[in-house]
Amino acid sequence: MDKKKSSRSRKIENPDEFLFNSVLRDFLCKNKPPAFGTKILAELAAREESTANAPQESASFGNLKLSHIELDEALGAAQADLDYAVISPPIQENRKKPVGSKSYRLEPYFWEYRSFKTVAMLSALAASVAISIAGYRVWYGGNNEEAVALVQSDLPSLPTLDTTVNPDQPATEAIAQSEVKSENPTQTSSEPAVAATPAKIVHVAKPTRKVLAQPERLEIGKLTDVVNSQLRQMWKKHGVEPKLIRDNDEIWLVRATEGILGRSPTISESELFRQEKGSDRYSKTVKKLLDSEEFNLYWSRLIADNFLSQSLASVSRREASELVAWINTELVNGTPIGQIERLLLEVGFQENDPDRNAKLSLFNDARRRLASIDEEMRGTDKLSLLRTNDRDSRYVHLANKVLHSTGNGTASCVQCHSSESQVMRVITPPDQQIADQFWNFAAAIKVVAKSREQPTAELGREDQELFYDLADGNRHIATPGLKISSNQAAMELPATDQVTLHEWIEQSSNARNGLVEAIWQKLLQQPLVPPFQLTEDEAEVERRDLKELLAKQLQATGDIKTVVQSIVLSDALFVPEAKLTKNWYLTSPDTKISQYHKGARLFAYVPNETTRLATYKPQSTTLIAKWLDVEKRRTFNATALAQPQSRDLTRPPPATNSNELEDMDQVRFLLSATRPYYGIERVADQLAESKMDWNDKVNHLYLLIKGRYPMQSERFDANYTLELVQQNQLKALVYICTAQLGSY
Amino acid sequence: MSLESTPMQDAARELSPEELIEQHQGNVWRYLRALGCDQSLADDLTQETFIAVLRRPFTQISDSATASYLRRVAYHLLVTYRRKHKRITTTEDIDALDAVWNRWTGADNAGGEVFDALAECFSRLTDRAQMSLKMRFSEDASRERIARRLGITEHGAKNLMQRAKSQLKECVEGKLQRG
Repeated sequence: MDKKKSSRSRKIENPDEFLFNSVLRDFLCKNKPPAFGTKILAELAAREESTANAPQESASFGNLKLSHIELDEALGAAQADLDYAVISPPIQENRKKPVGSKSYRLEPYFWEYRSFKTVAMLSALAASVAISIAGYRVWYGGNNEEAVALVQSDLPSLPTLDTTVNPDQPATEAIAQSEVKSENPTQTSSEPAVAATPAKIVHVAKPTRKVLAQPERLEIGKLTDVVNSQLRQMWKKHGVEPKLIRDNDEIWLVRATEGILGRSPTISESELFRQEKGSDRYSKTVKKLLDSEEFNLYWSRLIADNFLSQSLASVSRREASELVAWINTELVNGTPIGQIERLLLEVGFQENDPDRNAKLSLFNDARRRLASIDEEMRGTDKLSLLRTNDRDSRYVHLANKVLHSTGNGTASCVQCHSSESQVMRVITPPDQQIADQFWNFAAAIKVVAKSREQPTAELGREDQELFYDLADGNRHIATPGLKISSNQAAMELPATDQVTLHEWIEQSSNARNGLVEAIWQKLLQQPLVPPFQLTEDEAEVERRDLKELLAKQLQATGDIKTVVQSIVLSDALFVPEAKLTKNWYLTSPDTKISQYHKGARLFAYVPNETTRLATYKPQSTTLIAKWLDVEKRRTFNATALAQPQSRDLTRPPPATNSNELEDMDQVRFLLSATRPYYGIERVADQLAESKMDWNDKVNHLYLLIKGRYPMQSERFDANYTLELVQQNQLKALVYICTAQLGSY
Repeated sequence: MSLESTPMQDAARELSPEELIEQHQGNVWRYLRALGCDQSLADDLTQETFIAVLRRPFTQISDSATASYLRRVAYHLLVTYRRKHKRITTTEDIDALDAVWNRWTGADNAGGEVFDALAECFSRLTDRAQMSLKMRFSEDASRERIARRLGITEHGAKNLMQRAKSQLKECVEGKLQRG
């Protein structure tokens, strides 16, 4: 009956069909599992007895022979899968996607070339000069009053520190005057006034605004020391003594490169790192990685992910590319991260923003997500975002962004939700010390929700709220006061103590919380403030100091490299890997495992989920050499490779003249530090010409360039690449190789 | 962020080894069969799975967590088995099947309800459709033989079976989705 169903490998074209047939066959044949109970227990007892006598003896049972080590490995791997959610729904979703739906990048985007960047920058400069001249002529030189009015009406009323409003002038009067000034003369009276957005949006800005104090900048070494001390304190608190793997540089390099550049190190990078001597080799390597162009591009993607609160893969490729390109340009230009976040959050407010189209394209998605959040909040009857029509969505979007993006996603949930009951709780900060923290805006919105029901009751303090309605029925975005409290009288703040939302986003270190949390999460695969199963107090206290410190440093330097560098150089990257330390799971008492599961407190390094299935093998070149020897594919003869560049590899001469070592040297040279691309085409040509099937060729290619077998996603990419190049295997292999070794 | 993870909410009492095997053996075995194991391999790997788990300290948080754990152990044992019997191992096929199985069985990963749904849906098929599928899957009958038995052409038999399977699959998936 099951003759056709061999478990040996064969390509399954349609997993759904295959599985359905299998289930249907079992059903119709009435196949059922035998009664295992007593048999298993008897075998278990026998094995335990034999283990006591001969611990390393291979256990045998039925037709299958699996050793104790293999059984333990399966246990550890299964535990790791569950711990780190290999089988979590999002991953499953990814697995279900067809090959073609995964975006794959064959070569650099056109905007990644230096020449294009230069041309684009010069063009932008020329265009801005031209526009300025043209605008000047229209403004001062033209006689057409209508055209002047039109230009004036197009000018946005942006929140600016330069707005000259008399500080003694009452807020409501200032608003009224602003409205008069921004009124469009061409507008018909029958049109509702609110339709004239954004000219109707009035920001009450005062010349003597409060500028938030900026934190002092710490040296990288000191910052790393603080991170280490926090980690050690946490380990001590939980009675854990991690055995740091300081003697294994290979593992550290893999972790650092994956964290900083989002990929494994190339053979050439490994070679260069091996050549580095001295205690500062770690910081030198990190600096090198941080200075690469890949860093800015990779982290542009992560910042975009964080801003969208979702993966870029779910946004259309063009929009995602534009957003990433914009962030990348800002990072390359050294724009402070606070300013970048402010510009991102000003979507829809700056009508003359050259990147407005790219940013606005995100609105549709934000609306959808907002609808679900809004519905959820309405359901709880605790907090309700205001949204009366589509025109409001931009304001709510902004508030939503402040709550869920500018602040960190994980901690914001902990702050707003009770970690035990999982219901919303109302945030009412007890004192002003923490009053400028981002979650206070939740309270602000709640207060507005109340005042909306009685719009005329509190018109005297509307400039301290996020939104407010005037008697004319228009909604206005206001300057949120720093002091938010359930006590309404306590919310009265002098104008000099107020900042606008935009100023707060740019100036407050608390607004960096979200990015710090995202950086920590990305580098270490766990939340900075572990929320799971902690009480509210525990969640707020644990690592909160560290989070505040990192956020302040991010604000002080304005550069994400500082935070990345301090975390990568800390002990966090030297703790043993969770996947590899399965014995830890097997030997630890239940209480410790339980505690670890609940807290995820960095007792072990958690590899990135995209590389979890693969194990890095430092001895990869030896394996490759063995493969070359076994397969008799000695195409890289020493004579052909005896070129001057090979001497650049400062490595000890081979101890013997064995074939294996020769091959190893050849491969090292082919993928050498000095000429990383040399020989790629020959390798690809050799593979393409061989009689192996495509999967095997991809396997061998990854063994060559990565020292491991390809992951499932990488295999998908390889297949997709092959489709893109019309089944030209040579071309596909070269593309894959180039992409994996870095295309910069 | 997944604040939904509250593993203690569906906590069950700790099962004895006998009860554990009794309760979960069918699920593990069916899962392995779904991943393409023949019966004897599914038997062996099911046994190895329980032996692997019972050899070490094992905390039973909940029934569904235990089922997931056992299933992952079985999965990795299957990968190990295939690695031992092949020069190069890829888990692509197993992963794809694993994903489909997860989608079918949902969070509980039990698999029993798949068969219940199948039994109910199968009974709704016409007699001729039932007979064609029975002959095909339980007797390994050729398409020609099925056609002769039903008094139709080979092409007709093929169409009949395809439609029957399609209806069956749609019905089962509908039932599983409605829970």
